[in-house]
Amino acid sequence: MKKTLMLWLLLIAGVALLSVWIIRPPAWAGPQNASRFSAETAALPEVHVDQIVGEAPTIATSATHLEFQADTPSSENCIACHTDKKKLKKLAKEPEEVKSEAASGEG
Amino acid sequence: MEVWQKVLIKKKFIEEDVHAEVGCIACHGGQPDTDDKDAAHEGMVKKVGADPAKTCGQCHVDYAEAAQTNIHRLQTGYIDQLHKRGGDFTDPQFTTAYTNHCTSCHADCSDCHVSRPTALGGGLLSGHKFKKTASIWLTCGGCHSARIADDYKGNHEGIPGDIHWEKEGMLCSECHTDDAAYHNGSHGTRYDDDTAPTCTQCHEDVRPGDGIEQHDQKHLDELACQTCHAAGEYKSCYGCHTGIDDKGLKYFTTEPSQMTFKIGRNPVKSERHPWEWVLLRHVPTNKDLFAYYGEDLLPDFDKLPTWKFTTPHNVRRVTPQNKTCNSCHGQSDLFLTEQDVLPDERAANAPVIVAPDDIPQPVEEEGP
Repeated sequence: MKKTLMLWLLLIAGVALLSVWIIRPPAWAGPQNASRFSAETAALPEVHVDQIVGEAPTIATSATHLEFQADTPSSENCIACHTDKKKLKKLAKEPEEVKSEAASGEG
Repeated sequence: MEVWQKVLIKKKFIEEDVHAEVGCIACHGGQPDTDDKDAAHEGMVKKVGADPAKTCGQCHVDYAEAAQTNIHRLQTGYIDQLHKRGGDFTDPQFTTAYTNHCTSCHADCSDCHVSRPTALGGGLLSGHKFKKTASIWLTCGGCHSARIADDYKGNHEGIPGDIHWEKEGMLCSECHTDDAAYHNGSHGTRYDDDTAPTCTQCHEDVRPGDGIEQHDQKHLDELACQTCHAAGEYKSCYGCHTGIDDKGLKYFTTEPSQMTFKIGRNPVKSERHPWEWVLLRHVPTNKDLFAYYGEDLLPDFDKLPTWKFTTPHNVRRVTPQNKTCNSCHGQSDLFLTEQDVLPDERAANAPVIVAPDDIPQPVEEEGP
């Protein structure tokens, strides 16, 4: 009786282990060593990380303070325009590029 | 790419992609109740990946956490190198110079997975499709162009491309896998990343006695793989200067790049990079890089070489310098000697310069 019980327990444990191995990790299961690297970056030498990233021009022009919300207003107008080639051809404009005349060389 | 194509969203994305289920406004904001272009875009956030924790991180928690400090987003390589040259990130003059001129290479989640780099004119990669693996020629190669992608594809005249591309068609992500520092949090330069790929991860049979004469213990111990297997010259850059013009516009100037091939002493010796001889590439930095913003903003400039350890992506089995022993031995032109280095950079490069007497002497080779 005890032997049968043990066999059943072993079988259940085996199936559970196999499931963990086979089933694809969900989206939230990201890089395994993320926390290790996070700890390491905490030791960046006297660098004000937030300040540097926060002041990066690429971010400053598009900084987001949005809180992601599942229950948001309809995007019908956005979609109607951004999937309409004719309308986009008419309305889309390249932002004016302001480049210094002093700039020169590759890079 | 036409400007309208840059913002065209494919219906297939709307209909099939899980990322579209939340709607545009959940991530981008903007005004829903108008079809006037300007009014609709009021308050809109173009690059939502700039704040991964609040957007991508709502589902991809660990990726978003790692992205806060990864090398592409934070540019830890730049920070590390400028810090070692004495750059003071608490000094407003230095920080202004850095943010004005160095941060445009920053990339966040959406810069690789949704959009094309600004350097290529920006725009959506493929109608807002979220590409799990970045489009390598448009994103990886869009930023790492002249010094990686052009080498890899053989775009430099007279120099063949990398055998891993030509023969096997290998994409960046086949070596630079998901768990490397480009994705994770990181510190220092890409060469400080313990998860970065190495040649021997695949070529694990390379060892003394593997049938290749030059693969003796001494050569394998003392030479980085690329020293023998880079197919030819690669790009070196020089003389970057930064400033703000009289209209208040930021600018930089650089001197013409050169194709160089130089073997030198290893400036980043470590357990991971134990070799004595490596390839070196000149980087565009110089003492006056930030001179516009203040005096002596890089006071320890000479603490790092301007000829840096490099790993050109133009690898071949047989190369001009490994055809015979004396294709390398005695070939002083292949080595970085004092005359190759600008006089005011010789102190910085002292650790990597090869003394004439240290250039391997020609050997007696067996006849055919």
